[in-house]
Amino acid sequence: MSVVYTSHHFRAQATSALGEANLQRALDRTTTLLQARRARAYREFEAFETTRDAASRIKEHVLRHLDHYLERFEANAAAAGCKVHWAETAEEASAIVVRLCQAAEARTVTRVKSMLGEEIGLPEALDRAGLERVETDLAEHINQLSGDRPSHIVIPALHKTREQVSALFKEAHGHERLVEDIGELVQSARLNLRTKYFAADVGISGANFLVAENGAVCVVTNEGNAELTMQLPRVHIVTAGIEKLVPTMDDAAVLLRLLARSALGMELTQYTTFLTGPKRAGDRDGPEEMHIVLVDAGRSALLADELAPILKCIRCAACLNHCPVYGQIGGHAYGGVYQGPMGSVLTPAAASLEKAKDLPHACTLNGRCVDVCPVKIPLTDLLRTLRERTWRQGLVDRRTRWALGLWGRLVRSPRLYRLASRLGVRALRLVARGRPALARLPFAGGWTKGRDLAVPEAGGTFMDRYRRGER
Amino acid sequence: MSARAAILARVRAAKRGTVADAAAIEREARALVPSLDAVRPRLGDDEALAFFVEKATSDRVTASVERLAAADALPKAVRGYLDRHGLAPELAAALPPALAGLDWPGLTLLDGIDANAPVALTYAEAAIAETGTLVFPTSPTVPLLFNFLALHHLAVVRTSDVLPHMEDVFQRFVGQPLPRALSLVTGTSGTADIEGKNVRGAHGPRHLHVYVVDDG
Repeated sequence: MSVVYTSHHFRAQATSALGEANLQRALDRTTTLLQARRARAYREFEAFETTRDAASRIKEHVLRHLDHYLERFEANAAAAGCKVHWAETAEEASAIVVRLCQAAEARTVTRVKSMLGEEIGLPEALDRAGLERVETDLAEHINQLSGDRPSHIVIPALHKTREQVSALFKEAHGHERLVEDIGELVQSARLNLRTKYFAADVGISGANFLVAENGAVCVVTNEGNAELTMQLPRVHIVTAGIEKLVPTMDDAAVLLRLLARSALGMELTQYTTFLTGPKRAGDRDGPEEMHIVLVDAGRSALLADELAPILKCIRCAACLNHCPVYGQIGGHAYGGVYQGPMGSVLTPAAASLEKAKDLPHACTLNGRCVDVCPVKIPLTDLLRTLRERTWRQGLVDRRTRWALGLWGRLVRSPRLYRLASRLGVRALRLVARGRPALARLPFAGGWTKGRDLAVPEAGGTFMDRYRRGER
Repeated sequence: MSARAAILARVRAAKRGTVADAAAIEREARALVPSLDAVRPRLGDDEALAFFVEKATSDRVTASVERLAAADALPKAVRGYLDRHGLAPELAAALPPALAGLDWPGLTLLDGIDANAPVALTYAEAAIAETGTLVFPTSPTVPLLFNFLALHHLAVVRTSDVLPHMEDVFQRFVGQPLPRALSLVTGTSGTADIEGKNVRGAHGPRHLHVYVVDDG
């Protein structure tokens, strides 16, 4: 077991997240900003809807012919001088990377943020192998210093306020005073990491896209840390999920236009680099070796599942940024590698539905995630599918099961339903004794803890009044 | 069974019998994007060059642009930049022979770049108007890292190399292998990792100054 999932503690984690002042401050400062930026980017992009349609078609096409594109990519990457490896499981993938580092007699490895790397437990595996691991993405640098896991797939330290980062850097970078200006904090990380880039023996990255037509690996960042990580050390290792393929460079262009707009409201990431093989004859820089590890880790199983559309995901995080639940509890509460709506679909697949049964239920089905998804993943449908599975597999607790069973019986019989509503209206009015709302209700303390229940007006149920011609 | 064989077998099993030959897949792939106009912004009536300048100097890209009437005006312009920013008259430069061979009075062009080089001067083989992007393909004469290490990145691009869209750059490589690294640079190194606030100069350049040389 490489990654420890805590999704089975979701309820407790979510409750405690709601009470964490720093987390709430960080979430408030960031999520609304990201929503506004994305909105502006799309207002200025007239072809948004048609681009989204094309992006969705490209991803579906690739998934339909995944074997074809995997073989094509492999052949082209190998022709360019890459060594391609295949890993069935997360454990196998991180073991391959560790073996490659050991074969290169590496002592220090630099890493560019990659969610797949997190998924396969790579940070832990490198640490266990005794390698000095340097996270070069600013947020991952912050997380490495504080021992935190990413709480957001694009901004992994979104849970930290600048005040917390100040305190962390004061200690780790040896500041004499607290530096609170964000610009100065960034500068401090720059100085701290600069020498480490040059000391690294191996650089490890993920991939945003694998281009089948020419074997290129596309990696995007805004910091420029990827190029320093991938091109300075002797060996570059890429880990990529098998769903990352695109047929052509032009297809990559379609997805690139959506990725940065959806994530941060930018038209294109600051650095978008296509890498095709290691250093060539006469090149003045570049790695001597380039390895690509293609990782399955449950993806081929998902391909055969109703949940397959989640494999279209390009990891932009728009669904997290627009999710009212994520906006309240942040990323750690989800207890997995991925968070928010896309995480609530992926974590049950990775950790088992039993261990993640609360995630698909922690959704209001408001559909904002579906509206903003650049590749049109029907996230709420997928979450509903998972809810059904928790029901069918008996993972729903007995009281909820009983209550839902009763509800099901009622709504299937109009006569029973009308009778029950009439009784309900009368009972509520009796209990209320003239008050317009109830602050507490027997057997529903959980519901009334956060809000009042409005008491029905006089005159009976809606159906009664409708039949009497009241409007 | 090898991991490769096992993964491919599972992928094929998931397809439930929808087998297509390579030619049919190609045909399907070509129909995915019905028209390029449907998947990219229209540049309007502006010529690509004007659009590029507008995008490159926008609040999102934050580069500065200087137009030069001819390549031989470059040394003086670079000298001017260094003077304006109080920088020493010495810089790491990766330029094609025609530019490196110009007369660079009072300036030292360094062939290599070290970890703390303050200024780098590089040559972009193309630019993309749509996003204000510079394009750097590596070759034996063109290293990649010069674009990523210095705090001040000065870059040269010719007006005839300013193309409307990303696809126009990719078109240049059709039928030949891609360079080892094809890097699209849109502005300066930046991060939004602390509270989503944009800060420039994260790991690479904080300043990008583009010389657009008229050759047309």
